[in-house]
Amino acid sequence: MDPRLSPDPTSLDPTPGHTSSTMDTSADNHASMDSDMFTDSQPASVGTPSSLSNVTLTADGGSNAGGGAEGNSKRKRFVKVVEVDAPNNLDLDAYIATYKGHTKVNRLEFIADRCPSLQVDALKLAITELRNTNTMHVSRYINLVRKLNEAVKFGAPGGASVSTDLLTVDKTWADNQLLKAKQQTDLLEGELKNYKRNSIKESIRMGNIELGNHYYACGDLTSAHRSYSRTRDYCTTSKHIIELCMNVIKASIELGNFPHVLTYVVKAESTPEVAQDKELTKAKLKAASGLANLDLSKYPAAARDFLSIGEELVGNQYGDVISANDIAVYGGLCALASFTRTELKRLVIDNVGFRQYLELEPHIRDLIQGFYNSNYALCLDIMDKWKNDYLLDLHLHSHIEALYTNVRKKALVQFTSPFLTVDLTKMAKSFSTTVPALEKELVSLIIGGQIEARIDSQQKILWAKQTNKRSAIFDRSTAMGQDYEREAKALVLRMQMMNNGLVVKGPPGERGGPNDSENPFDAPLHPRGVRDGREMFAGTRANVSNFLSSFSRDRHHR
Amino acid sequence: MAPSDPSFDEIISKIQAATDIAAVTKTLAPYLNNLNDTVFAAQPSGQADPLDALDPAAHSFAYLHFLVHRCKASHGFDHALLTKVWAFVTSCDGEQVRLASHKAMSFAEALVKVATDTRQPIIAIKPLAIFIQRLQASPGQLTMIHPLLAKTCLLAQSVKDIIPILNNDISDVKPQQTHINYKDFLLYHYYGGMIYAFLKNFERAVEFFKLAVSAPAEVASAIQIEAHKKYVLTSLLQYGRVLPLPKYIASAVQRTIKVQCVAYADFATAYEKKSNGAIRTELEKAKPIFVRDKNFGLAKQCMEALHRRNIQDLTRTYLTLSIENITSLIGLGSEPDGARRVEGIIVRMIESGAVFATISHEHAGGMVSFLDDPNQHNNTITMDMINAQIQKATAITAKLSAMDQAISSMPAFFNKQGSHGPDHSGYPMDESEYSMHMGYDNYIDEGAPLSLIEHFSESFL
Repeated sequence: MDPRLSPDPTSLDPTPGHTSSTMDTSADNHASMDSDMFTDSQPASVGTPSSLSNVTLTADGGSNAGGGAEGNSKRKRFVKVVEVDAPNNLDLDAYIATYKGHTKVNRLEFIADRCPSLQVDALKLAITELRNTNTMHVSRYINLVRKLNEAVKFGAPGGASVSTDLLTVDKTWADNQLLKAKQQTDLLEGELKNYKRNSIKESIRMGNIELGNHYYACGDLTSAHRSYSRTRDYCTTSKHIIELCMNVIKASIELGNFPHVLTYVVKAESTPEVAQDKELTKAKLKAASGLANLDLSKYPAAARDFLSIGEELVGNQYGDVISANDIAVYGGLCALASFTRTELKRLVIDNVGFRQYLELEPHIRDLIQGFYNSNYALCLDIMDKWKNDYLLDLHLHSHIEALYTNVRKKALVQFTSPFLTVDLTKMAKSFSTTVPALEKELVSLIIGGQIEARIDSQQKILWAKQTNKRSAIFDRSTAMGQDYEREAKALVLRMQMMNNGLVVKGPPGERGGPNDSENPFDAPLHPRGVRDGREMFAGTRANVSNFLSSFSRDRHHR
Repeated sequence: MAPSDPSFDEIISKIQAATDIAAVTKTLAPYLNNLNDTVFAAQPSGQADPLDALDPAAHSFAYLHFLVHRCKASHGFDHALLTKVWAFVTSCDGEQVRLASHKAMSFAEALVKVATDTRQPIIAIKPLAIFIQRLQASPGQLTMIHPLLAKTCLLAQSVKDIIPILNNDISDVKPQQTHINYKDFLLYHYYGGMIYAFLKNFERAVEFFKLAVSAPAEVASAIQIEAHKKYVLTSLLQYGRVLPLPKYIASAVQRTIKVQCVAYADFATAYEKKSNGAIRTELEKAKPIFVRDKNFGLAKQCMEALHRRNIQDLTRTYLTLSIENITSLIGLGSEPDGARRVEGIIVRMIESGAVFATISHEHAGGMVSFLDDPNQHNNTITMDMINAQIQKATAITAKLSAMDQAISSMPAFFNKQGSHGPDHSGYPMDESEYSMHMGYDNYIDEGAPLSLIEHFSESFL
């Protein structure tokens, strides 16, 4: 009964290139059963050429089941690859220009895996990037080349114009890079050992950082993370600590270990501030924590983080993690999905700092304005148009469904809130859905308690519920009175029973006492019985006072 | 009669001589107890029945003794005996009978035996019910006969007479006087719950089972486990979910329940989720266990109650709904005459007041309109009800506070508190008690705590 976005096929016509049925239910998804699946984590080890990324294909428990994924760090991230025919608004070059570093290649590969029409272009760009930056992550290069070959073989659009030097693995260059990488690793490790022998804290710290950077460049993220974490013991100033946190955050984000990110963000924020780059660092930390919260599906927290970034990252200063456009999109969507109306106004619409980001993505601005002005058709339209693009976003794709459902629910609730009666046919039109589907959605909202109304299904009208509070109170108070009476009586009875020894006891043989089974309670001055009696006094006393003091408290909670 | 036994005349004169309760206790009781049992059982040869010389009201004590043995010795349907029994129970003196509580129990057992021997257990019920009411010192007192009566009623399937007794909640348990033990309590509430369930008064049934399960216990009793199983099912029937058990339930019982009643717990969780298919599968899975525990009837009733509950949920979301929609929504869509059944259920619910609705057949298939509760709660009925409840609540609170006071001022209690310190078993020690504790400490005679407790337990209740 999950309300799905635009299940009505008629609404899909105007937008060309739209995927069939917009991934309505998991059954309809075309899961591309590629044998090499791109997962967010990069466990490929250095030095083994042509190693495949791990092969995992199972349904995502969270993304296509209404987005109810909890941010459990132990949850293994299986991703079902959802194919997107063609994004509507994505200009690949412009989009990717805002990023740098590893995330650029990550995103390109992500897009390549999912979008056949952009596959070749994305892979081309990725490979060029790898070559141009002289990366030492050779296995990745080889992987990408192979993918490009397969794409061309399967006749992906644009495959014809791929130059051969991209299609073939440049073995010499690759081997060169590998050798360099190995040499560098040995060198750095040797140096580190040296420093450790000399026990100079600062050098050990720098050595670890160098090693970490090197591993990062080679794509061995776990080792990079490990090296960075090792510097922790050698940090002396707050500047060092901040550096450590930023490094670890960078590695963790790419590893997909977002709870870690949150820990280190908190750690960094609690260090006494360093003078230089204060604002920038703060902004970066907020961005990182926003990203982590988004991944953990904590949308309100994520929204708040993104909205409080300020103006520092407008120029894509944190481009190796997140671009300014991303901030706008993530922040806007999360805010829309989780804020109340007043919060939306205060924190988003009136937020000066966020305005610059919204300029970069005007459709988000329109979306929020439309929602605020109750122009739901516009909202849903925009959301629809941009859905494909967001499905190609590295961090957002698994949350799109959840976010969209949230927004839709909020729209429904907001729509019905000012009215006494609502005509369902009119409502269905403005939400571009059919009346039966709308009715289903409304029923689930009513049962969930978000809408206080009742449906007249004969005339298709929604009636706002007017609860007779007075009657309700009378009913509740009579029930409470009866409960109180019952519980009090039971308690008194219990005290009597315990005082009189009317307790279920085991057979006398086990207890080893001289009681006879006939009348163990008549035996006077039996030591064990008396001791039990004293226990019972305290117990019953505690029971009575607890009962008297907590009865009303419990009632309020219920 | 053996020659050494006194003759009937002697006995009777002695009995008649004991005119008041004190005399009965002091002289008659030991005398009668010393007599040989055969004295009572022996039938007089030709002379008038000694029992006729005795008045059941004035000489209840002795009468009882005679009756016990007569009943024990009787075979078959003895009309005369039963008349005497009836005369006795309707007119006996409660005080005297209480003195001989053991004999009373034997009397009850013998009566039941007479009844079962003649294959008419119903004979015993009414006399026993009246007898209990006389035997009780106060209407809420539990006697040894209560469970026996309840069991007989169940076996005879005649529950009319025990209802007045069941409706008086047990509030008085004094083993010193009534010689009950924990089994009596547990059995009485277990059978009582079953009787209420038989009468479809599930609210009371739940209460009774709850009392049985939450009775103080060091080890779990099988009766409590069985009561818990029925508790789960009746609670589902009445409330749609298993009400949480009281906090003071014994840990031993809790542990045993977890182990023994797994099927019931599973059924309950499925039931609370209310997906018809899942519940049916659980029911099928647990069916052998239910049948073994003889709870399958209750489980089947749960399923029917489920439909009613689903319809009630619908009233919260819909204003009007067609009968077909209702049928499909509550999961009966696949049944052939589901719609008719649903309509029948709704009609019955309207009649019983479980739901407020009107059914119109203007359109084909019928449309049900749900209405709000027409009870405006603005009339004298409500006023009276609220007043009565307030009074009851005040009375109980007063009683509880009095008990609270009484215990907290007992030196024995402070002795215990003092030895363990203020952090014993989570009991919060507030200011007043602490200072009182300091004062009383001086007065505690360490040498005689045991007798102190005995003394206080007698007087305080």
